[in-house]
Amino acid sequence: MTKNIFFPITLILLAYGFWSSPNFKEISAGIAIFLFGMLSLEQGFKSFSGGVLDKILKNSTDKLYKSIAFGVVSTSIMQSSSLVSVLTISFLGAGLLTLSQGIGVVFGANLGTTTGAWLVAGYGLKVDIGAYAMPMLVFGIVFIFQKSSSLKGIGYILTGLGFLFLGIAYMKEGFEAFKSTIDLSAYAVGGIKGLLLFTLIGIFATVVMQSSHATLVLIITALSAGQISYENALALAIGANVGTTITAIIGGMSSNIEGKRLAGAHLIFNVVTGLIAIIFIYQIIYLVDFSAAKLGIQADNYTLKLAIFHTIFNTIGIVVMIPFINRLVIFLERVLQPKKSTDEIGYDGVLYLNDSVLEFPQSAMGALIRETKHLYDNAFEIIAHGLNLKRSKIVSSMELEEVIKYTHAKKFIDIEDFYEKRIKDIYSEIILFSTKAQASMPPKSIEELYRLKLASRDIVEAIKNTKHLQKNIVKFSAHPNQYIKKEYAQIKFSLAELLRNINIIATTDEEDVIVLLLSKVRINTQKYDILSNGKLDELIRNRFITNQMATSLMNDSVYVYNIRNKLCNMAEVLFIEANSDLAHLQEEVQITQSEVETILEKKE
Amino acid sequence: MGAKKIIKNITEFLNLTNFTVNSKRKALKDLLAKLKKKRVKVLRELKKDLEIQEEKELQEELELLSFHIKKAKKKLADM
Repeated sequence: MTKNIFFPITLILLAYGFWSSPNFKEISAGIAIFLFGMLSLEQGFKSFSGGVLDKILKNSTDKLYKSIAFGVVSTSIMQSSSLVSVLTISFLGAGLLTLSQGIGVVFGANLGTTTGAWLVAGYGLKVDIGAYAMPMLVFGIVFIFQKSSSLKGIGYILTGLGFLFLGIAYMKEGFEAFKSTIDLSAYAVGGIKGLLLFTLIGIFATVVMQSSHATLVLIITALSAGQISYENALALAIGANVGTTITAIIGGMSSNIEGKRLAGAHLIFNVVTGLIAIIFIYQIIYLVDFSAAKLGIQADNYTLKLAIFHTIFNTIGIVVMIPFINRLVIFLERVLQPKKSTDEIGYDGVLYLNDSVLEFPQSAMGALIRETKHLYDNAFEIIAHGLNLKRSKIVSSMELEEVIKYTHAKKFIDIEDFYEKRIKDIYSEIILFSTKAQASMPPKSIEELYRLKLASRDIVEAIKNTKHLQKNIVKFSAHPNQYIKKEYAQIKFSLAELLRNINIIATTDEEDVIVLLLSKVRINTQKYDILSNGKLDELIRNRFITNQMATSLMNDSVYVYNIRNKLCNMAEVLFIEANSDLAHLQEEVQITQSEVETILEKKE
Repeated sequence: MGAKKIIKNITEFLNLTNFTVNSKRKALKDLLAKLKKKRVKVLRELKKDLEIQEEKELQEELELLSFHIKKAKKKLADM
């Protein structure tokens, strides 16, 4: 409702402003061009992010100081803390960053925005910046029309910078011309009242423009034209810092719980920093004057002093908040929690897939791998419980003969119900996400994506086979015929062994262990197959089991064979890291069916 | 000279043409060393007084290790 009223009112007010003041029109056009430039710049950097930016983010955020440095450097280069924040939220949502690493990047990004103030105050206002804009725009457009995505990216960056420069030039001219008609500085408000009022105006302006950078440039140009007082400009800068969190909050709302927590951290950081700046405003102003004198900046150069102020209060914010990062993480994890299901099985949805990560191919792949692992994690539980085995015992060091004696529950679980609640949605989201992600992926990655999709299908097939198997496991596990009972115990044993081996493969990084276990799983699949090892014939020939029991056992042996094969195929794709040495050696070390048969023949 | 030709000349000059094969070879060599080390460990274990089941499992592991070592050596020779 408010949005519906707010939008037309804004349009009417803008139209009235344009009609009544040509200078207001010029300043507004400057802001619009500047914002358009930022969009173009973001678009340009995104086309490179597939290979470079997300790789750097992944490798340079393992320590807090590195995360902060990454935030500072990337925001300084891209001149957009919003892009860095959204990228961080995407990575966090995809599970590629921890919350504390993400917080470090966001803190750094806040400090990185101050470079924009320095550039505009120190350079943008002193030269005819508009003159640089024109060639940039022309060259940029020429690059945009090229086929290569890299050249297109360069084109977007150039046009982005061109529009930024042009926007600044328009704002500067607008304020200069304004000076001859209206003196806005006459509306300056001094003291605490002015500080609070202009902080609120700064928040409002940034919320509307969704860019603290644009607000800051507007403040600097207005300050250089003498349209606002220095004290009020400082308050506006504080407000711009608080208002910028709205972009992160909007980005976080569409993200998963981790993204929401990061948006929360961003809000807390900027509000705390803003409060510190308001409370200690006079001490910070003194520090600014002191630093300006040391740097050789003239006492009346208020634009550069504003840049110093911006840097100082953001640095203070980081210094104050660093000791509390772990507590902040604990607080956010306690306050913002995922929705819990109330029923016994509990619904489980996707954890890592987020559409915002689709623009970054490597991150999208990382998110898919994690989500498929999540799918397997649920499948492990379903298969174990479907066999009435305890998951904790399977992954323990307990002898497997003992493991199969422990039952999970008195009654067998409903696999169909489990499938509906914990598999179906995740599986369909994986397929949907893969389809969307492959649009921006190179052919080699599409191949990997295809293998991941097959791995997901193998997991689902293994669950379906377990469902078919479960009925007879229930029936024959407590059967008076000791022979059939023993065969079904053997089935449980072989599948428990499979799950244990896959768990070891998933958790180790010892390549020799992975190679040996994968071969062992393949060999045992053949070895435990009662059709090929002659066990079934023996049972029938000696009349140890009835014909009905034999057909049940024969059918179930197919299900067991399928489960083993599907999970082994899945493990080869999912648990051998794509960039590891072993991934390059798959052809060399993978055991073939004929090799399995040769090994088993030798044994016989 | 076209860009493709320049890249080709540089890769040839820096001997990067067999880069994939060389990195595969190195990875296989590393794996072979690990497998050999493991075989020595298993052989040492087998000399101990073991229960029948444990000995059987180790024998199976030894057979698999020997199989992979032989296979890796052959692949290395073919590269």
